[in-house]
Amino acid sequence: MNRVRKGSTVRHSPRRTQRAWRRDGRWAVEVAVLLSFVGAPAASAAPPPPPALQQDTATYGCVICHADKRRAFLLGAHAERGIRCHDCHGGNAQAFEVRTAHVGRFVGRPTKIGVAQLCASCHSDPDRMRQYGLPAGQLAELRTSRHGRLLFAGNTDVPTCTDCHDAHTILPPEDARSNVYPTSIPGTCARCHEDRRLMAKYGIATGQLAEFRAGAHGAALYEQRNFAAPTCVGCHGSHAALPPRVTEIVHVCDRCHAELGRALYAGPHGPPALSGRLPGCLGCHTNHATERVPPDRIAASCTRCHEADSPAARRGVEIQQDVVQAADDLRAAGAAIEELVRAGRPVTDERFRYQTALTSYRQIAEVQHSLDLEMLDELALKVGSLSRTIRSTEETAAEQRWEHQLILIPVWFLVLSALALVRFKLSELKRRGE
Amino acid sequence: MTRPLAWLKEWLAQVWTDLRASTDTGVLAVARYFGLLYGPIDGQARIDEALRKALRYRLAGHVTWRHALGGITYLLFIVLIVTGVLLSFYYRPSAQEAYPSIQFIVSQVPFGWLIRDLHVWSASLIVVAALAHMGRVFFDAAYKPPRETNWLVGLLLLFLVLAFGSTGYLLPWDQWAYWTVTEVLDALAGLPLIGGPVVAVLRGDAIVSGATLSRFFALHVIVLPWVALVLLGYHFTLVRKHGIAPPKNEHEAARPAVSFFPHHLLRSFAVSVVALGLAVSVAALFPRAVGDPANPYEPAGELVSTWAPVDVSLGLIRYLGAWGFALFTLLGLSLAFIPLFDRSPERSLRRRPVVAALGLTFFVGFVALWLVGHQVRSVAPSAKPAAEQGAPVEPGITLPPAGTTPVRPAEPATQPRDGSP
Amino acid sequence: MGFTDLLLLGVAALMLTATVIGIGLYSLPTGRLQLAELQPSLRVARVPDLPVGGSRVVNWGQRIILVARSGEDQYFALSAISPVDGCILQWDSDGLRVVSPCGYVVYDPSGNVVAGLTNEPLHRYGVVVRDQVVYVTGSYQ
Repeated sequence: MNRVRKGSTVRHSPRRTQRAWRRDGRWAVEVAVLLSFVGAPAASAAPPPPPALQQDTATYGCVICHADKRRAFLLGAHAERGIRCHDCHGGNAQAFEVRTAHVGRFVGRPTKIGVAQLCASCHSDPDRMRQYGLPAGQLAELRTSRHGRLLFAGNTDVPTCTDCHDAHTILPPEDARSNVYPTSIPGTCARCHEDRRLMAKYGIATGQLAEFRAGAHGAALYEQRNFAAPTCVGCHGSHAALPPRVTEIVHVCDRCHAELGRALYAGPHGPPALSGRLPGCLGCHTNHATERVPPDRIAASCTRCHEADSPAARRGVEIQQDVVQAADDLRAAGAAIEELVRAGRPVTDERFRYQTALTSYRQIAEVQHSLDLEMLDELALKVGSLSRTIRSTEETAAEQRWEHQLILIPVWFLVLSALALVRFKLSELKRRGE
Repeated sequence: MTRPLAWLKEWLAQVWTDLRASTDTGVLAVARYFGLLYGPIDGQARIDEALRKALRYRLAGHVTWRHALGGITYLLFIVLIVTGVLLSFYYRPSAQEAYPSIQFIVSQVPFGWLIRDLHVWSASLIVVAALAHMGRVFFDAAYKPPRETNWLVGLLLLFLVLAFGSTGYLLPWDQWAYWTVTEVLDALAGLPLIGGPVVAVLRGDAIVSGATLSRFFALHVIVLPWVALVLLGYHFTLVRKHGIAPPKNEHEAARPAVSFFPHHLLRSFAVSVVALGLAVSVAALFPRAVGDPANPYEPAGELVSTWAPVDVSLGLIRYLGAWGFALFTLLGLSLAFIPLFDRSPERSLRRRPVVAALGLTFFVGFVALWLVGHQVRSVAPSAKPAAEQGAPVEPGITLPPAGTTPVRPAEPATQPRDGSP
Repeated sequence: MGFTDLLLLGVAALMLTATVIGIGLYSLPTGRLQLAELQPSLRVARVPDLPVGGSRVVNWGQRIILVARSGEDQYFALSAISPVDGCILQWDSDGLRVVSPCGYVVYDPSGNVVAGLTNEPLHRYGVVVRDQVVYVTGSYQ
């Protein structure tokens, strides 16, 4: 295979090839191709390749027929690293005809397993990947995942490398155009996982994407652009993708929600979660929609597993009472602050108290996972007392406003007496015959 | 001891004699200019004689209670001036301090709440009183020659009152004021040819900002009062010059004349006292609500109206759309200009049906729209926040904005599912 | 001067007096309007009252600020409101980190995110120590 060494000056092929050009009348095509080399970067929206690249592609025959692939490839990360068509596809890159180009180790369209092995030929070599700072365990991870197991058994429904990372336009995850950019990942997974017929073959439910988008993680990712929020790969893994096992659920969630996990383990739900009797966080929350349990439905989620009159259910009722009370207190405090603002009063001190109360309220959300009623009572009391202080400020202001209206008594007393006196005076003047 | 006292008494007596002997009735002329004195000024008489003559002036008998509307308007104007000056003792016209200074006035200063609410309510009441006065003059056909100039001056005074209210509307610097003014200025900027430059001068910046506040404050407190002084003085001078319009029929003409002092003065006193009492009552019973502090980066959720013409506009826009608004304005303007063309001496309402109908539609419509608009209370703003207009986005992290509705405990929007996970 | 006249004058005089007194009370200077946010700095505590490892949460006008002493002469001040859920942050002097009591979020003393549920850094404020008193200022020096 002819390989143009990087950095070497371009040498046109020997006269034999040139004669072949003239013999086949391809020189016109060559001119057109050469012009397209100059024109294509400007024509396409892609950034112009660095000068060295332009020199290299001048001798690439692949692009005569596969110009679209060239355009796609130049967008990606491989092109910048000097990788070329023949590095993956084999064949003779110098040739300008199909029969002379598609020779040797040429592979046009590899099988799915072939793709995995082809990519792994570089990407599983740590010695090679070290310089780029890339991990080298993707193939090993893939083998442990469901995708990988089915793939290496010959299944063609499952994705291989190029199904998620495009075959030619391979962009790094931090590029917003990439299929594996954080906000693009759910869509990439959904290409198969929202296909009902495909998923029915394997008994997998669809609808996760919609749930995810509507849930807290989706809102954080899509609306707030908080990239600390997990995408599909955050909980399921990327190459080693598997749904967490029942005993693993809490560990997956508490990677980010460390305080909640700690609270859960400290409480009575900890051992059952570790042993798998309780499906961890999924005992009360859902996996893709990840919604909070509203305060007034806490007791109901307890009775999913516990008997209605058991001590556990009763504790659930007490917890619910605390939480509902705290939520009401906080809401009332917020309304009181708004009333104060409407009345034109300064609210900086009240706002500070509200933030403190909010902090205690959020702590309730965390502590209730440990089912520690004492701590919950304490926090709820804090919220209540702060809320009462704020509300009393508002009540004082309301009282003052009511007192202001008392000024109308002397005002109207004076007005009415003035009116009466004027009337008297005028009738007096009339009587006097003025 | 008696010698300095005697000297003082002698000196005072001399001053009074000089004053009495003076034929300069300038003081009375100034009083008349400010509308404080009825009756003609006799340039020949001494000041005390001239004053007595003015006090003895007899008003025609057909001058009844409806003629007090102009005086009520003027009284409200004086109230606005006094309360406005008092407010300016504490108000600070800068974008950062305006809102807190008003909070200070309302919560810390003794009677600050009263001065402020009185100022805001008088601003609404003066518009109603001015229109009522205009309506009275319109229906009495008191705009006929030779009083058409005074009608024009009165119109200018109405525009002046609206200008006062519009410039004052921004001064509280809360979300409602900020975004209402932004929308109005954006709409004005759409006017062909003059819109752009006028709004550029008024706004003083790419968006409504501290520059706008300074300009509005300067207009409200310095420019417009001088214009008011000139226009009001001319208005009163013309009224004294032409006198009250003559009676419309013999029934009115038959009523006996009334002397200024003490009859008319007593009647004026009664009317003023009642008007003031009503103004203080509404101010104490319906305090003006304050919105959240103005935030150019976050449009208000709703625009609550705090001034009568804004209520009317809200009612118009909500139920009749922008075209209804334009039509109503045109109706008002046409009423303004009818008197310039209606110069026949006919003054009976029954024989001027078209004019009467138009007038009734406008004035009754105004009151009806005020009530409707008050029910509507607020509309959602359509102005774009500063970030979308290209202004720099506020740096730093997003805190719950100060003084606004604080972070509410999050309740999930989706229904909880009872099914197993 | 009849009785009615006297009463009338009396009522008018009363109205006038009441108005003048009201305006007088209004105009007499009471407290001063001082906006905390517009002051160049805010007094936090005396140096002896803020030991190494100690912290204070102060309310500076519209801002809530965490001021902590991480070393003998090292202070820092950060916005105390967590961008995740609005909780008031705390200083963990053992781990030398700023944490939230209600969610998993960890910052370093410069306000950078170390770990947790957000990527937003905290706003930094300056700290000045003068005459053994600690102040927080508006700009980071």
